[in-house]
Amino acid sequence: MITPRNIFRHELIGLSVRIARSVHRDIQGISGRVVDETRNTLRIEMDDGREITVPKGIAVFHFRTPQGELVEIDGRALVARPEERIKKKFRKP
Amino acid sequence: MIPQRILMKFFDFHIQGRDHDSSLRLLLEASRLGYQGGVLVYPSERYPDLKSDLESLRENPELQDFEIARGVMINASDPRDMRRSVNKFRKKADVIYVSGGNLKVNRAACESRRVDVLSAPYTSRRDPGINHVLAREAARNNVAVELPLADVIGSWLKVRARVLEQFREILKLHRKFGFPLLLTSRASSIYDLRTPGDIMNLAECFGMESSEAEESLTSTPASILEDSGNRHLLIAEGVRLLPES
Repeated sequence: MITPRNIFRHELIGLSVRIARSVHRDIQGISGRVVDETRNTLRIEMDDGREITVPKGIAVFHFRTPQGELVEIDGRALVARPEERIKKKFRKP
Repeated sequence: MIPQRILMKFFDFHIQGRDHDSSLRLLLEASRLGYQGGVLVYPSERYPDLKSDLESLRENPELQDFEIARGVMINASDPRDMRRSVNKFRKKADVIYVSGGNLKVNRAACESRRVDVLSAPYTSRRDPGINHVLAREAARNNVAVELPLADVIGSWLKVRARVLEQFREILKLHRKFGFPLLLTSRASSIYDLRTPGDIMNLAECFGMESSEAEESLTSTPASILEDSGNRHLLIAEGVRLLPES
């Protein structure tokens, strides 16, 4: 089950997401569903059906878990291949 | 229009309490001098006393408008000891101070996101205790460096000149690397306390601009306390649960 405690290690494809902040201002505020992921990017299907590729390292994302909880994740914490993110070490706050 | 200074909230971010009575005297005096908040800091060995003292202090009718936070001072001999104490007190205290002086402890404090304040990194040293490497780490991990004015007020001649020189060096690093800087009284007696205006004027003696001094008495303490309040929402580095969810 995807919870806020494991979301950063979990599969992101299928989750709804909003780009809360970004160095690239034009993509700020975009929301949609994650449809693909690479090491450095997320592919987001927007509400109007278009897809954009967003570099993870430049943005802060708001993910909504299936239970409805909202989690803010700094994209830099997600930079890793999805299948290897589970092995990545995350420091305690 | 209301002048900006009236809207600001001044904090004395380091008031050294010993017991209930001395803490009460210090807090009342700080409130009288124009502070709106303060952090009562107990050494880690006597931290359990702070909880009971603070409960009665918060109930005092004269301190109703004065915001009091709990702080713990960690005196560690080596980085391992420091990390162990920080992990022990992280959930108990609002603000964690690490007493500086030992270069290895200074470095471990600057590299830890769980430490809030590195206090007086120059203690018993000839150099300021932090360099460009530690300053960059402190900025990255949001560790504030504390300049206690008790070190200036309570010293004379050569020692005072050296402390001012070390403050100047730290200020130079603060301007270049942007780590948070705190001006505190570190008062253990009411005679160590000064008004925010006096502290800002004194800070100008070692080259601080009045806006920088104001920031280190108002917005920097407020942001540390805000971060401390939101710490329970942090899940991992860069991951945060949003409260409105």
